[in-house]
Amino acid sequence: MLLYYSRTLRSRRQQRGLAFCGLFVIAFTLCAQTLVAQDTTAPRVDATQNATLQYLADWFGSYAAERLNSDRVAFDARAADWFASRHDVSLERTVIAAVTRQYLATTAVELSPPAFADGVFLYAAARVANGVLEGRNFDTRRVFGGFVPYTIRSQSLSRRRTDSRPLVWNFEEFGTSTAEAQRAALALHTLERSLGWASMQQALATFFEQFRSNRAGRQELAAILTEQRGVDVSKPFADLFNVAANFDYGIEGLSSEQSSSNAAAFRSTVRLRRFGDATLASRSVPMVVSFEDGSEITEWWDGREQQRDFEYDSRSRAVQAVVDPDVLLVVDSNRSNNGRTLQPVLPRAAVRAIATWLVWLQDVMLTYSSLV
Amino acid sequence: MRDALRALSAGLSAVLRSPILVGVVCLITIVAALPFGLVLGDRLRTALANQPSISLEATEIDAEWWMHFRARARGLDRTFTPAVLGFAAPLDNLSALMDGSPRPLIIAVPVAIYALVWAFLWGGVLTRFDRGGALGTRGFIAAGRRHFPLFTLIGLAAATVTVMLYLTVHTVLFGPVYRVLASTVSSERDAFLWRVALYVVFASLLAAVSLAADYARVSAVCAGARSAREAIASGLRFMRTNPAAVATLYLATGALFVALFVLYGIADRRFGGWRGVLLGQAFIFGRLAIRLTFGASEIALFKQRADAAHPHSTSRGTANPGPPAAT
Repeated sequence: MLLYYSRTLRSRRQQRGLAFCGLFVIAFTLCAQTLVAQDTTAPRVDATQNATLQYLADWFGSYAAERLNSDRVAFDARAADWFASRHDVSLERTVIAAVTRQYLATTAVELSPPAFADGVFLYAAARVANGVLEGRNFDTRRVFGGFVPYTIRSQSLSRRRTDSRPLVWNFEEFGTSTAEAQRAALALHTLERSLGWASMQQALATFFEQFRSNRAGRQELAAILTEQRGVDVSKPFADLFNVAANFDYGIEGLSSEQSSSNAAAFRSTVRLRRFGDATLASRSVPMVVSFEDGSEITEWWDGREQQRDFEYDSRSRAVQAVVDPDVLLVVDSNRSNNGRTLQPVLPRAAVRAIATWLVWLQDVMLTYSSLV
Repeated sequence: MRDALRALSAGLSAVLRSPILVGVVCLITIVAALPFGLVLGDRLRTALANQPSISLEATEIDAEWWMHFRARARGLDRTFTPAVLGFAAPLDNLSALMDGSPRPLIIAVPVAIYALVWAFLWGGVLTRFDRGGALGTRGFIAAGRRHFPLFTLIGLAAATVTVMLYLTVHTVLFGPVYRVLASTVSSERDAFLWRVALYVVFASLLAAVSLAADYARVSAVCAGARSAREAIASGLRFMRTNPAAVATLYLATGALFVALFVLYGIADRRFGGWRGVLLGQAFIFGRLAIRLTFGASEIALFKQRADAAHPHSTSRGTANPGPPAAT
């Protein structure tokens, strides 16, 4: 419209004036947007910082407030906020990461090695994010050179309503970390899911209290857990944190056939197998067998065995067997072999996901073919 | 400028009078994508159906399962990311186009197949718009077959130049040039503005190549160019002699696309679930309608200028306009 209007202006002076006005409007809009963004950012940073510190202090003990650098937190936050949408919580996740890092640095426990320290940070920050951002923790993708954030509100990263455990997710705002650090974080999540949050929180609080002003690592945490539970956990503990140790439990076979002696009965066989070299403590791997009539049987398997067959005689056919159904073992390297079913059905969520993907593929085809 | 807007209006009118054509093109697009959807669906059924965390009644995919699936995904499975959800899909695709982000190589297969499908469709579509009336199924297929080899060659030439642009100009612009420009500014916003400026430069080059291919096809249909070389030369000549009209028509059609894009972005926030999927499909329908509008407008512009240059002659197509539009 501006172009069209400029053509109606006869003199160059008028045209230049119009161009200047256009540029002024653009510059003013950008400045106003920046000012508005700054005004709304500060309270969000403060609220998130306070909530994060409250969570960490409640869980792991008090912190040295005088050593917290709020300017550093604000600096980290500024880089994340300049073009944020209303539902984008990248800013909050950035603040959570910055505050958690500082909290861990000020607890005066020198975590060692660095991969363990990073793992504790990733685990603690994920837990805090689950608490602070519950119900509004959405995935944000950065497009156009990483400058423009877009929040995918249909992908919630908050914990499920029926599950109190924090969701395990690689948040971009927590920064890049080594494979060892990510493994350490997964190991801590696995411990929490296996032992329960109350035991885990107590162990970590004791760890931070006991080793204040000292250097400590996973061996010291293992010692606390051993004392707490009365069972030596050092061997599985070492494997959990070792990136080279491969945890992989799965179902190798499932069959359910009519019994030869009784036509109304079924004989079902489930073969569990340890595909990886790493092992857990005895009776630590759960397995659930589901039958056609809706009944279920839960077994606890010795995770040190290479394989084990379970046989059942029932009036109903076995339809599914799943090892670790509640995903306790977050470090399991291949979850696709965790289940076997004799009635493969596509879940409703998957049908819709495929339809969504088809729309995406059409858009890809249209976008790239438009170039030629 | 008036000629370009008149051509756009003629193009819009031609497409509005051809709802069946738009519907058929939309259906063909879905059919072209469907085999790949079935392949992914089969893999997802294997990976998902056994997962305990996925209830058959659940309407959302478990985020943890998705992260684990992505970590182990290969080939087509690698494209199954949260970026396929709703408005994120076109946004991510547009961003990938401008940033030259690498896509899994397997994606080249559906894109190449679809480009070939359009090499066929353009023959029938442009002939239909050139004649201003329905060709009938046989006439459409005959026109598509007649122009298919030529349009495939034009598409190949455009694809080659586009790849060269990505390998040379894009690499330089978004590599050293952007790094130098970004190092001169102190805020992220200023760095982004430099990036936008570079996007404009690179998008102009992509648009020029795309327009050259478009007008080569148009001149093959309207002016009867017989070889790819002749068609491309004729198309380039048309662009050179009518730069303002060509650019205005491109920008005006681009504005339609931007309007559709923004509308989808706003509407996507209000609809979820299956309604969101239908909305996405409606967006694809809109994109196809705009693509057809652009083709019809280019034909109209080409004919307007040909008529203006030779007021006493008629172009091949206008000699026999045929019956009113039905397809």
